[in-house]
Amino acid sequence: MSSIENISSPPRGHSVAAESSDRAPILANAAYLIPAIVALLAFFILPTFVTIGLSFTDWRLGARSLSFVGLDNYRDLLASGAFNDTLWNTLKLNLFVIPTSFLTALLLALAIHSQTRLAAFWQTVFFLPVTSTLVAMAIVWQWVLHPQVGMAAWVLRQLGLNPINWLNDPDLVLYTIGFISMWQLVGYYMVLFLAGLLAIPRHLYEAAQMDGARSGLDRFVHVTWPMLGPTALFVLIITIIKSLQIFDVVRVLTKGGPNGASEIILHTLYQEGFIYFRTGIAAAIATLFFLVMLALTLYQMRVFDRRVHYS
Amino acid sequence: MTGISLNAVSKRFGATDVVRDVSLDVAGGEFVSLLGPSGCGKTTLLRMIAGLETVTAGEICMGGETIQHLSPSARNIAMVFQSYALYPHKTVFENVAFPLLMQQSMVLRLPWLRHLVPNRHRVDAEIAARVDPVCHLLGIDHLTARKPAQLSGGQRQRVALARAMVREPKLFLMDEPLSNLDAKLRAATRAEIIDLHRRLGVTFLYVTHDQGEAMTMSSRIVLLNEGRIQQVGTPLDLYNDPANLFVAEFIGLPKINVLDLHADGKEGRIDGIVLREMPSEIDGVPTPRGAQLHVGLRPEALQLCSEDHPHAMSGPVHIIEHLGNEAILRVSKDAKDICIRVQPEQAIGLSPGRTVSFRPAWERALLFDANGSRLRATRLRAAA
Repeated sequence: MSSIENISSPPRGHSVAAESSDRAPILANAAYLIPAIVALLAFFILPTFVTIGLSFTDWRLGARSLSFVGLDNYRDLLASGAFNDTLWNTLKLNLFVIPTSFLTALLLALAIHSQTRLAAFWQTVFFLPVTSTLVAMAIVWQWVLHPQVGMAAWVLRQLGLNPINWLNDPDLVLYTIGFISMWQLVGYYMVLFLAGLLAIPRHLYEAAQMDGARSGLDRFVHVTWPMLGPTALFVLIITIIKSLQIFDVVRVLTKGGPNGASEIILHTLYQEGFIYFRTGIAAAIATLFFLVMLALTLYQMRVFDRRVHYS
Repeated sequence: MTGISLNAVSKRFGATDVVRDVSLDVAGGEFVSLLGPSGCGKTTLLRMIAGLETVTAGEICMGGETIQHLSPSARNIAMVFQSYALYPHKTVFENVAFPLLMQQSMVLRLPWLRHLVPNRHRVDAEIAARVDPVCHLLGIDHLTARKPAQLSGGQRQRVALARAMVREPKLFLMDEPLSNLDAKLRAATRAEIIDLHRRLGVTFLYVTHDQGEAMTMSSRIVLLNEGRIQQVGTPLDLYNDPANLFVAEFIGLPKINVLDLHADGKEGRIDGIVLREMPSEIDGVPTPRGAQLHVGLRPEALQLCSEDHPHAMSGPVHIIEHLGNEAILRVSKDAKDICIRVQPEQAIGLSPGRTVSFRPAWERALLFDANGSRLRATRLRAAA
């Protein structure tokens, strides 16, 4: 028990026993960790490395042999005009979806937060798409956007305008896809913002009023926005991740068309991997995608963590 | 110096009357406490003056002008919140400077766009020239670069005071500003606020539930209960000459002792002691035989005596509180605790359970009718 005794007495049988009884719990603890480690390795770490490894081969799904091709897959991808278009499309889609959904969610949350009576109603209305299956909803959107029989076309005709072919116009299709994806997820971001708004102490607004903050803009700039910092950072990260993951709308509505105008990175990956079975190429795309995501996340954490105030 | 006057002000939340028909005149430069138990409407009253609550009925005037239609920022009133309500993302300097920043033009008030304004350096220098002396006065000038989270409770309290002071308001409102401080700091800050009031010379309205705070700090106390003013007066007025039983019981620590008195014509009886010159009528109605009245006796209006004194009452000592300069005896009597304030040496040798005899100084007794209203005209006198 007494540590002084242990130190002063020479290491004999007593302390050897103590050492071995110290080691036993370490082994036992390690044993408890094995299931978690095995699961992590089997489902997360190993697949990542297998994918990275496959990206250096010419393996096709189901093939009995494969050969090492070095960086050929990457070279081919980056040299291909189609893949560069894909990257460009993905960038355009994300540059549209990320800021618009972030700002729309914030504005909706602010509007709903200032309501007293209908807040719960509007909250439910805007959250409803989050709970729906996008594949099923995409079919509804297909009907809504149909250039002849769709509701959007009907509305435009009533306004005396020509119907627009939302999903087949190469200049529009990406934004249509972006809008549908945003429609589905904006309710989710809005709820996150609402939670952040509710956490701002009411007396801060009262103090601001007493201090002469006359306009809503003053209160937003000096109280709401800084206090919302951690929430906004979180929503931004989620928005970016979700936006980069857009796939199902494209798959169901356009399959990358017309003429590759809505071809985005995840859809190309799917085509290569599961339609053409060029697993090596698909793995190379997945690896590139993974690296971009990793870099983005690390950068966000670094930059924003310093600027955001956590009370 | 601007005073403030309330004229029949009421506040109703749904079906609940929180403040009822409050009229009050506060002269310029006064330090007035709004005192009362929790839920008495004192904070609501303060918030109505601040403009953070609407007024259901009545009128609030400042410097002769009605202000209840003005927004809080247009009233030139500063408020110190119970929680201090400092902006956690701003430094101490930015917190104190905020009311001055809000007096600037629209663009200068915006964090990023203000960099486009050519004269912003001059404006910022002017603001700093007003913030610095206030911070110096309150002894927080070495903390100006810190965020509120890095401050102690007492320091935050000073920042809140500095923020209220910086734009030189006509009226200071304080909502229990000391309740988040520990006892020692509270006493020290109390003295500082009194000092501050003297130095600034502006009107202070101070909400508290602590009668000791109200007694020591204010020039006048407004005692509220259930939304109504019970009494307005100097601390000693309220202590020595309470308007009703509620005031008598709320003011003073330990609490006033209340004994039941049976009125019987010109005589009254408490515990077998006959009292003479009872009021023959109350509110113009002759006192009925056997009417129940209340006698209030402050702990210092009771004194220990020998048991054979003609008006002695007795009971077992229940608790002895030695306070050094005095002692408080709590004596059980008819299921009540009677508090007696005695000299410290009188308490030496007493032990709980021992029966002591005591007698009231009847000339100091306060008489209340059955509803708790004070019967001022009557002085009690024990029959010889």
